[in-house]
Amino acid sequence: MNYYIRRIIVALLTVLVSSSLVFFAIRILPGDPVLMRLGESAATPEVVAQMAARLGMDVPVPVQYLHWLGGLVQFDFGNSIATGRPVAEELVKRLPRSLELMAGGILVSLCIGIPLGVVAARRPDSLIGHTASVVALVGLSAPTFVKGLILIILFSITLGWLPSSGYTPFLQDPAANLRAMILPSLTLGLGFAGVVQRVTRASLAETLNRDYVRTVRAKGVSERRAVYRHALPNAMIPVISVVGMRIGSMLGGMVVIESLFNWPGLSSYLIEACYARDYPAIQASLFIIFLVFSFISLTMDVLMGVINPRRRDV
Amino acid sequence: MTAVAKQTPAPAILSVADLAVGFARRDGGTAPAVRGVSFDLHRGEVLALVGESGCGKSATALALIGLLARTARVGGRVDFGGRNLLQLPEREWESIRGRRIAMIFQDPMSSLDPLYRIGDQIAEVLRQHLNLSPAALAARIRELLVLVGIPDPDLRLRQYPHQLSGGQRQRVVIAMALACDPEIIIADEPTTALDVTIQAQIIDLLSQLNRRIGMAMIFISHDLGVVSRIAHRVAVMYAGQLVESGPCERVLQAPAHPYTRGLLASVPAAGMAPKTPLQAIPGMVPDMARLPPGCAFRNRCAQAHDVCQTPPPLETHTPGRAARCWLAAQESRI
Repeated sequence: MNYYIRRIIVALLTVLVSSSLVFFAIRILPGDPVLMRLGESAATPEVVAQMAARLGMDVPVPVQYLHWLGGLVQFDFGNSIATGRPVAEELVKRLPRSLELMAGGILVSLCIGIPLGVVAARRPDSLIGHTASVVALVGLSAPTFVKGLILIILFSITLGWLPSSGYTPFLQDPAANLRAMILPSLTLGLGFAGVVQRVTRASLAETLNRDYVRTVRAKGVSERRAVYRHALPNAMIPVISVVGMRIGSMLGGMVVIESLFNWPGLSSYLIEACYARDYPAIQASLFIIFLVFSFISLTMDVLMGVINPRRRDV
Repeated sequence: MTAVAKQTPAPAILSVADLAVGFARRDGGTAPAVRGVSFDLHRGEVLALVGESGCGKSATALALIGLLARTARVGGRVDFGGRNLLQLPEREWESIRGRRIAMIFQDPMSSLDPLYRIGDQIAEVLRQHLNLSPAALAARIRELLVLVGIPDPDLRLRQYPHQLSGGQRQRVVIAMALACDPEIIIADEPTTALDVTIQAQIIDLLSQLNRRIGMAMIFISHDLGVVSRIAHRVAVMYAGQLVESGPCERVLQAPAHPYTRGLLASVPAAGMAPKTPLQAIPGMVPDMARLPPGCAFRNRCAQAHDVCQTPPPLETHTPGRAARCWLAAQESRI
């Protein structure tokens, strides 16, 4: 228990430090949000000063930082420079959409990656084993927009089965929401399935040769049981840690998919904010991404303890 | 053959004839590991298979329980229960492994699944073969833990392998092997990975179980000191072949094969004067893929002479004892 409390404190500190780094880093970048907002030609020094004062950017950066920290504690991320509306409002709308897409992508990647990995590990020198690895490699190495376009051409344009873009809130129309989710989830999941397949294959190939699996076989249980009840659960331990690490980076990396499928999620918001040098929006989006990342790695840690009894005594 | 036991000729329950095991190599050839091994195992008997690493003793053991790697090529016969085990389909193996032939492995630290409780791992073999009620199952698991001398069994069966010491884990492995009252237990270097004091305890346990329960055992070891404490009969292997076999104490007192003599001379004895040099066998175990013609031990044998260029047969020179050496054949004729 002690261990997890320590982990939570470390995670919160990490989020704080990385968010602070972001705060200063974006202010070093070229491009002034005030000028961008006003348009460089029209801006007289008086207007610029007025606008800077309204945005709270007329004080020194350390003071701005303290203001920002003060707001953070109350989950007040300030107002967007681009729209003038509270950033938090926008985040509350967009985060669930990205999380939903992420969950769909992970589900797809596990459902494809694990079986392909098992096949490749159990029959390493057979045609089916090689095929599994090649399929996974193609999924992994094909660029996201290519996979996305192929899926759109195939399933929405040619076959007309699924919508090619758009988002319907789940509460408004669950069926439409899920239908719209399928293609982006597949696009996201196919690439990640390649990673899952490779880790599963390597890890299972190793556990299949472990002494305890031989012990299980010597008990006279079926090969099936030896693989699925003993070798595979042990092989899942590295898979979980790899998935956990990659999930976090997924959230920020869904830009291509969100714009391809016109999915109004967090990544597309972050990109817009970057173009506009919308400091509060950038800071808030990254803060949320860091927070989700930490939360997921913490969850993975707990999950690992559930699977692996050796971890519980740490 | 050598199936003559000392006093009572008990029937052989397992009969191995001309067992050959080879492993497919990358280049398409076969690396031999076992080259024509024959022996009988009798009811209640402890037969030790002795030899250095790489002599084929583990490959022999794995062949007897059908757990060789898929790349292995196997020849010969293993008769057990009226059937040739080497031709058994995988489905039928499942009703033999753990039920009629069980195995104890070398390294207790790695031979238990780290994700399952001790009790569940023992239950797995019982559920697989016997149809016990939940209460009978729980009682049997507890009984087994007591039998193998694990203190506080009710606590232990709820624990995970990493919570037990090496010696206790090996006791658990033994309990799993004993669970279904098998006719044969194959113990592959069961004490090699343990501390000396624990080694002695485990040997005593196995020896005791053999006497009490009467199951036959194939005990694989490179350590003649350990073997002398448990085995009734010894079969010495070298380069994939049996080179000597016979009743344990007689082979150890008067070895007929120079290799057995070499092995004995290299065992440190407790009563030895300090700093007495151990007699190592000169040279190395030959590469099984490139064996010299004639006797496989020729290159390392101090008594090798011209006739050794012809491979010696495994000959019975005294009733119950056989050796694969021209010298032993001569001595017995004189």
